[in-house]
Amino acid sequence: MKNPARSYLRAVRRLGFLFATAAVSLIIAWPPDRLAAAAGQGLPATDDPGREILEKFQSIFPDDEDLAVYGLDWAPTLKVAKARAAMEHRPIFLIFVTNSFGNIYTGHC
Amino acid sequence: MTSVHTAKENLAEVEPDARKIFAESALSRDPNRLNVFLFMLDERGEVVHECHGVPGGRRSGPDRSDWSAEIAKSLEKLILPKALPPLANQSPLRSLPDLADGTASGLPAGVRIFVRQGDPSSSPRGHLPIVEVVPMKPDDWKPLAWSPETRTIEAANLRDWLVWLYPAAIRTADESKRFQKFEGSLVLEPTGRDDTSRHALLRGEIHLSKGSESQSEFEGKFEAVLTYRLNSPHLQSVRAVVEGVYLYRQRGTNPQKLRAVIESRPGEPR
Repeated sequence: MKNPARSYLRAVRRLGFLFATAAVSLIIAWPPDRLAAAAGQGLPATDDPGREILEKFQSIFPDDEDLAVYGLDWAPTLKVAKARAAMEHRPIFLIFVTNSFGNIYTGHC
Repeated sequence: MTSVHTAKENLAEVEPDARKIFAESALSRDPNRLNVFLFMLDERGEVVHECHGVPGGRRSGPDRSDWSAEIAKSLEKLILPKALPPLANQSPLRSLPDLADGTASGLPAGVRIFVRQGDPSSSPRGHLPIVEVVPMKPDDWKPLAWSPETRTIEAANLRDWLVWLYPAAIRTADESKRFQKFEGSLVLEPTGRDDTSRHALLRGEIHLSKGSESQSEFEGKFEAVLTYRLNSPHLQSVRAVVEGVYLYRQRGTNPQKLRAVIESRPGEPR
């Protein structure tokens, strides 16, 4: 059984990676065959440039490990976070960024 | 977890509670400060621990922190129960940006864009996707409506998607001015049908710029597979790939390889 505190620490470290190259891994199983999903779009199996695009799409599409930061429980604002913290008896982790138009949540930071 | 961002020195656009926390912290007055700060709050919203937010790593110093050590300190101060109640959302990607519902017309609610930097085989940054969502109104989809004939669509029709094609970690001055010009003609070509839907491809070269050659640009290739219902011109789904180079202009030009995928949402379960 996973230790929630340990998973939390791992994911937070990964968030820190946005600013540095410190690595962290949160191993989540690769989703089942994505090419099968692409085939589910109904394209012919052969001789179709659409298939090439969908295969490229699947190869670029991030896997769950790449998206591990979204396994954290994000709130859109501190106000929302505080309301939830009070209701759920949880602490809040606040990241405050100055001199930036970016957004840590989306990754454009 | 939540985050606050501002580029204004007076913090005017920051929500009041967050502004107060930062303004009253010793970090805000630290002459060594960089621009990222961490605060751990208890369930009442009271700060129990604070530290600089730029990770230390090999470049440790008074303006940086070891996140693991600081979080461990925070956890000691928080006096948490042995077991927190389970989260309401147990999904492993519970916070992944998304659009929940489609429109009443059956059109997608919008698109989700994943932007990836560099070559993932050589660049650690390439593994960290940027995720943006773009809500769409029914009229926004009209340029992509089904056509039995091949036709051309100007890239400017997709400006709300393409505006996100820039990397992370660029300077604030560059990010604050988004792309202004969206050039390129994309060919929308019907390719066939099956029992449940019709298909088309949308392909072409795109060039995005900010109005001056001294500012950053993007050059690349856009390719998409579109599906439509059999009896409606309305688009059903889109899956697009964009590959190109962000010409980052900051005292010279630094080309940065970018790849992105764009998917209509809601879509098939991941």
